Amino acid sequence: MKEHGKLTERQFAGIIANTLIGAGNLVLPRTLTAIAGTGAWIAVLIGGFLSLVFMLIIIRLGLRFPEETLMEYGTHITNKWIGKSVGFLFCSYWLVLSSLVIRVFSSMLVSSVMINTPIEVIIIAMLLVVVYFIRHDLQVIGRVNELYFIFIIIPILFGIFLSISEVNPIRLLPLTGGQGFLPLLTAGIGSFFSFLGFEIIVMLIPSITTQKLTYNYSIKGLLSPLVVYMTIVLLAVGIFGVEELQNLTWPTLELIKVTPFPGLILERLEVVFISFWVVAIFTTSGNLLYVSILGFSQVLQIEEHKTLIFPLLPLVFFFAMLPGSIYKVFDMMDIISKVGGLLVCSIPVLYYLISVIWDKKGDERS
Amino acid sequence: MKKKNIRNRIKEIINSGTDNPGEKAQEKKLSKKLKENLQLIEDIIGLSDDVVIRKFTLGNKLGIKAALIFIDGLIDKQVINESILKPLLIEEFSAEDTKVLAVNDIVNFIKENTMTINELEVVDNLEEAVQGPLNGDSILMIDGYQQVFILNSKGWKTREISEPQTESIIRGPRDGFVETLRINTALIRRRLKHPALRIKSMNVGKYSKTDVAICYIEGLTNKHLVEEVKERINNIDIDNVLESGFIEQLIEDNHISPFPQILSTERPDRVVANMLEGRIAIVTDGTPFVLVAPVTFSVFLQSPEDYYDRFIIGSFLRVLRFVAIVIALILPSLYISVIAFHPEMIPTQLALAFAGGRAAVPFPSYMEAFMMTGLMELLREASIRLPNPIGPTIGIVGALIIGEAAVSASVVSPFMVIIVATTTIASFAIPDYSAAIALRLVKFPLMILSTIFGLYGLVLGLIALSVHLVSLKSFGIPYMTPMAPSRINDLKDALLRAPLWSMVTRPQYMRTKNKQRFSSKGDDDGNERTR
Amino acid sequence: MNYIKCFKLLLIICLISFITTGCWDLKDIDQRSIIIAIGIDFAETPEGSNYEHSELIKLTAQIAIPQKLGGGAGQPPAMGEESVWNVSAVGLNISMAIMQLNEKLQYEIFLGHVRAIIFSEDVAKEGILRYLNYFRNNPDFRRLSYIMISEDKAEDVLNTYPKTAIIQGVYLMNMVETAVKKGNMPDIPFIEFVIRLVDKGIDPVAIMINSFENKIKFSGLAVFKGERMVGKMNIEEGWSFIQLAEKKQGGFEVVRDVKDELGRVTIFFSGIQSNLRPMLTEDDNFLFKVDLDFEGRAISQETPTDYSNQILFNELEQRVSNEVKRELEVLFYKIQKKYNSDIFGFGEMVRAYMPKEWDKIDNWREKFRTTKLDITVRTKIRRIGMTNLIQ
Repeated sequence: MKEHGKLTERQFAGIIANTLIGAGNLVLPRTLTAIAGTGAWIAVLIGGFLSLVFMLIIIRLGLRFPEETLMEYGTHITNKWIGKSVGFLFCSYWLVLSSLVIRVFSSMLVSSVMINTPIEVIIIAMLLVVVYFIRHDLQVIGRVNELYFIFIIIPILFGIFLSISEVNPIRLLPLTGGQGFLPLLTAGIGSFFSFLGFEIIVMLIPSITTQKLTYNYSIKGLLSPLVVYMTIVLLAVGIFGVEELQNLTWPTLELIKVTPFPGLILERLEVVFISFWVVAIFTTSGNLLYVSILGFSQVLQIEEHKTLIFPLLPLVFFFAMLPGSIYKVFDMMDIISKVGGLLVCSIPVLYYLISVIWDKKGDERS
Repeated sequence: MKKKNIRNRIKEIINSGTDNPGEKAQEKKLSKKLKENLQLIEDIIGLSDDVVIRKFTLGNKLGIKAALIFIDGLIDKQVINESILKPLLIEEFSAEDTKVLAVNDIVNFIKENTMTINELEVVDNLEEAVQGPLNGDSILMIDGYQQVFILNSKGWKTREISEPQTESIIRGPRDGFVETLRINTALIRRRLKHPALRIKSMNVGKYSKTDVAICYIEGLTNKHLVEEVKERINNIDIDNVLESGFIEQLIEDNHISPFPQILSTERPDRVVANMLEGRIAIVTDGTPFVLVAPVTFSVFLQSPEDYYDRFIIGSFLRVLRFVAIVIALILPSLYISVIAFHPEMIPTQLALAFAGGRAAVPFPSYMEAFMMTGLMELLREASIRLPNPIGPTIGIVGALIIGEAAVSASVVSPFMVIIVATTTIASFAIPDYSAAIALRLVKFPLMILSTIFGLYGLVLGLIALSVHLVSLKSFGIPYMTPMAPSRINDLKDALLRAPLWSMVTRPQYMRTKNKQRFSSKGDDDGNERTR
Repeated sequence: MNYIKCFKLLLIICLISFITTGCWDLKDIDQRSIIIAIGIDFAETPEGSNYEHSELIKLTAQIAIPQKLGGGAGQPPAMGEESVWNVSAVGLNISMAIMQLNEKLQYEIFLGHVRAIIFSEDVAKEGILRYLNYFRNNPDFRRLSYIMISEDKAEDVLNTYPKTAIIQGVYLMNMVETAVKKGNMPDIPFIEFVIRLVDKGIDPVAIMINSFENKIKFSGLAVFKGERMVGKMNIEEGWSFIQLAEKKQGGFEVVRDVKDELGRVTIFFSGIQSNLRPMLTEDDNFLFKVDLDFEGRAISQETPTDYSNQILFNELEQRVSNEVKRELEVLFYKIQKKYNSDIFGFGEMVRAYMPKEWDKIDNWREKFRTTKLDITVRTKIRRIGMTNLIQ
């Protein structure tokens, strides 16, 4: 039942960063500018700050129980049934989120690159690789995340570097959006939902090798997606302007499409960037599905998390195929991230308060 | 009654079927009579034609019967004649004081005073006595004594030490391992004249009885690692070990993976360098390929030459090899994806050139790619099998003529020939043969994936591949160290080759006991040290 | 346990075989009709048809002939007329025309390599947004290809083969890119055109070309008001536009010599610094303060005037500044009064710097009518030729 594989702090940060960089920012520039206009980047900052606060609460709670995951200390803080059902909720939410992440990306792929390929096939292909990934134990998950962090960050930086010359600074102005603070806050809360995914650390904290460094590295892990999100939003606004952004279903993809790449064998890089985005999506949904299945196995007290993969796989596929059209996908994504936001904002805070008031603590690490 | 007879007969048949000469030796014991002993040995070894039993009498007056047994071809005739038979027959026993000998213990006398041979052992169990001639030693048996002399008379034809064919380099030592264990350990010893070098021998293979030597440096190599390697080799239960590949396959961690998890090399300098990083060398008798374990993927990118050249050049070569790996792995798949899925990626002129080249080709691009890469593998395999003088010629002729003819017959496009040639050349730039062939093999599934999904499939394949690589372990050490798990200090010798003076510590992931390479700690300036 | 394993294996095999049954998007590059350039004209309505003149369009696609361009060893590649093939189709809109076009070709058309879309002037005058939408939704289409307006029929431009053109459409694109790099043409690729069309505070312009014999030539810039073309600027006006709106140097300036009014000095601009600020005047109109700092060098001098004389030199600089300023003002008021189209993006400036004022404006174009311009031009001439003229 215990996950014996240990995570280094760097791997931990990598898991946070890779889980956050995913499907969210494929549409983020459009949704944020619709509310906050050119101030969208501030909204991202607000969202990042909010998620930082909740992440720190989760870590504080987690470090009170250094040997246990949410599924386990939940039962200690409340009683067995409440703890388990809360754990079940979390796991189900991760499962659905993971399948939706795959769905969103597959939709983009089908609408932009592989027009004739059935979306089911794309989803199945991705799922097979994800299954192969999550069959391994936490050590391998950590290492893969560590390795892929570079494969995700470097192309993004490269893309940013290339497209920065296309930015028309006038379109970025006014920097605050010019509509007051309220739209910024609304959009900020909206962007908070795209930061969801950091809450998977409730499953990881007991496995970190040096728990002292958890705060330090979790902040590092959150910072890189924050910077990536912000830069992408800034670039999208600077290149397209707010009004054109509203017309683009996949603003980030269009962003890559207008990036010139002069003088090399490959002239248009959108497919290359989509390929690297596959890695980002893979880590996001892989990590989410892994913690979901790990959580389920802890709730159901199953020794090996592997056993649950095949029974749950059809469910993942079902949720990925549930929404009919791309608008339904966005709607469902909206609902599920609101559910997730609610869970993330309420449960850790409640647990923490209860554990402080009744002075409940887990065993110290030996 | 009848039933019982039949049962006995069956028992006999079964017994005779499992009749193992080796087991026989365990049951029976040596007697004091030479005749009985000879009979025993004959029973066990059988009267093979190469077994020579030389009977003679010790001394004219003494008249003690003795026999020397050895296997023709495994012994050095010079040693037998000059150092064993000559002292026994001529010099000592014709002397007057032989009478004294009859009284004293003749075995002791021969051992202490007679033999002019460097290595000698007196045993009295039959098993060892039988193994002696099989190992190339000769055994001496004397009537009236139970003890048997095992005399080192090994001497068979060995190959001269020559330059390794599979790992040729420009700069560096030209000697390579040969098929004889002792010569190989000597080659290692010559480079490590430190008393801490340990060479521990073991015996593997029920029939082949192959000698295997584990070499490590006491006080440097991690003890648990040595224990682990010893245990794994001890656990091998196989009837023969013809090559170190048997051992490699039986002790590696993941048996299904195409990737080598143990390095096999013909170069003593490479082995020694790796031993000094805390790895263990496993020398097997009968093969020039020495195993080094545990290894990480980056070891397969290293060539001893990297360290002999200046570090900038070494780093450049590393990067080059890294590029070669990428090319060897994905170029054909990339070609398929670009040509058949995403032709908008390439500049217009190039796209039109591709299209023009393919215009007359009747096959789809993936078919073309599979045909040509398959043909290339065929050529490579054939040129190894072909007799030496015509091998390279056929290789060139095959590549040139077939390529040229295929293009002019519009079977493939000229670009495909470029792609395949580049891929093949790149795969030969990888220093390790087994790593290169693994990558070449993995190329095909990637090609299939990119035929189905284009670049998306290629990336999915690469993800699966990297997850596999990351999950591999070699003797407990993650295969992709120092990339994943990342050890920034060890990256100095992975993707690049940092200057020698900056590589102060041995690889951390090897958990060596002695961590410093240089005795002076923290001295960063190489120039000062050499002065 | 074994049954479960068998079941898992079976499931994986089923999934894999399901995946490998089809290569849905696999279509080799030689099995696509690669289109290099597209021309859009109004079709001549046949007599007695129900369609009005501006309803049917004629789409001319320039299809590359790859067989002529690669693969043949040792042969020089085909050029001009031989390397491309123009095929036309008529339809109510782009998608219909392309459907018609596909019926004339052995392979489906592929828009991934379109380098230029050429609209004829009369099409542009009717509005082009409805045509652009097709390309914007096509995932293959390059967002960085150029939109051009042809003075006469777009088809004629595509049928003009300059002598050095290997592929005519690529030649067109190279022409534009060279001019853009020099700063003589605004860099407005497809996506930028669309953005300017959508943004309320700016109107698009497009490069105008025209063809004669076997030459293609820039003839200025087309001024759009929304999606409709309303007028044009000639090359020199285009330079002024570039200086004012694009902040690029925009060609050169010819002024009369200070001493000898018959001779001329040609100043080539090598750099420009521009500072543009919107302000609100007392009568609630917008005033744009434009500071332009030019840097230039004299590339030719027709008189033996010695400009090492500081006074003369300063006067030369002053003349250049005045000339530039005059040209800019003429252009601005022409565009403002005649076309009422904010191609300079002043509305964007207001939105960026005065967001509160911008929110109050219902119709920027009405406001733009009364906008004033206050231009200050300074010129610095860095170099005055290699040698003075022999006296």
